[in-house]
Amino acid sequence: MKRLISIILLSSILIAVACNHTTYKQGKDLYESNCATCHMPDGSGVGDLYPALSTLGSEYDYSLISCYIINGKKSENSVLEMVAIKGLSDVQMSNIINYIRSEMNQLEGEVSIVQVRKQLSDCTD
Amino acid sequence: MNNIIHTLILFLISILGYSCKTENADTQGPLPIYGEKTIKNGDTILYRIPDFKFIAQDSSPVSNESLSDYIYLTDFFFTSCPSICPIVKKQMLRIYDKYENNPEVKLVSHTLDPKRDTAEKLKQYADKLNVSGDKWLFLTGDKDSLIDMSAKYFISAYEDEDAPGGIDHSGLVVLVDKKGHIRASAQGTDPDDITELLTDIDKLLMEYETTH
Repeated sequence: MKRLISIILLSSILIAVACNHTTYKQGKDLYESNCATCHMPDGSGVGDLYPALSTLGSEYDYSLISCYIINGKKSENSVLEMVAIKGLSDVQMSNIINYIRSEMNQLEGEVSIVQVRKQLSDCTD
Repeated sequence: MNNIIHTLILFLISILGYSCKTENADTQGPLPIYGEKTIKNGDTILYRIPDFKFIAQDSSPVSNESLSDYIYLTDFFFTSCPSICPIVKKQMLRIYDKYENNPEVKLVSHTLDPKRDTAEKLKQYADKLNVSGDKWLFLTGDKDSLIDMSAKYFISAYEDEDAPGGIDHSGLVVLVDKKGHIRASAQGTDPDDITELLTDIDKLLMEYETTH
């Protein structure tokens, strides 16, 4: 009986894990709490006001996003300014970036923490 | 005894079923006219949006009169609003896209932060939304008049130091007919609610088709 219960429990956990499969779970959670309000939960943005993140494509340098996170971004005609998001570690930023890259833009591979750290040291205001 | 209880339950269910059915039937009729009705000299006067005059993003004046040939969707926002405004604007864009080529429909967004949101700033904002012409009006003017106006549309807005951006306001989108009557509303933060509003807009447009 105990064995049966263990099997059922184990299978439920496996099913639950399989159903919630996201490689960048932390990135998804952080995206939802820090970015989704303006860039929309699916990354589709709003016009050119809040740029879409789901259509950045394969040519885009995703590590640049780390600079926008720490410094914010002033839009070209100064209508809106993206505010800097404080308190995120480089690992957390990498997870957000890779969530945007792999889940929203369906790209393989990832931006490494080393690349993000290098980019962060090169950010210009 | 059990039989009586069963019969009673069945009876109650049928009553409930019937009331649901009549409610459904009501939604098939014309859209309601919201607001208080007053009786003056024996005539029933329906609530309508009182007179207003604001300035649009191209610096032209906009009043009740200039909107009297249109049905319009209205909301209150401010460009630097960090909370619900982006999602509401996304939903307003859905409405704009659907009725872009319908000359009877306009969208009217009022700023609640006229100090920062000048006509020029609102023009830049509209440009970034890829909105041109006077299909979607972005209005600015006297701050107190704008806040008072939100109450006239039954959209609550007030200054609140603790709110993000210093102004607390609801994300309601309100549908107004050509006579200035409020005919429907939806939560701009809820895409499903806006989908229902699109049906209400079509229904209101049909009223004008049949009365012409």
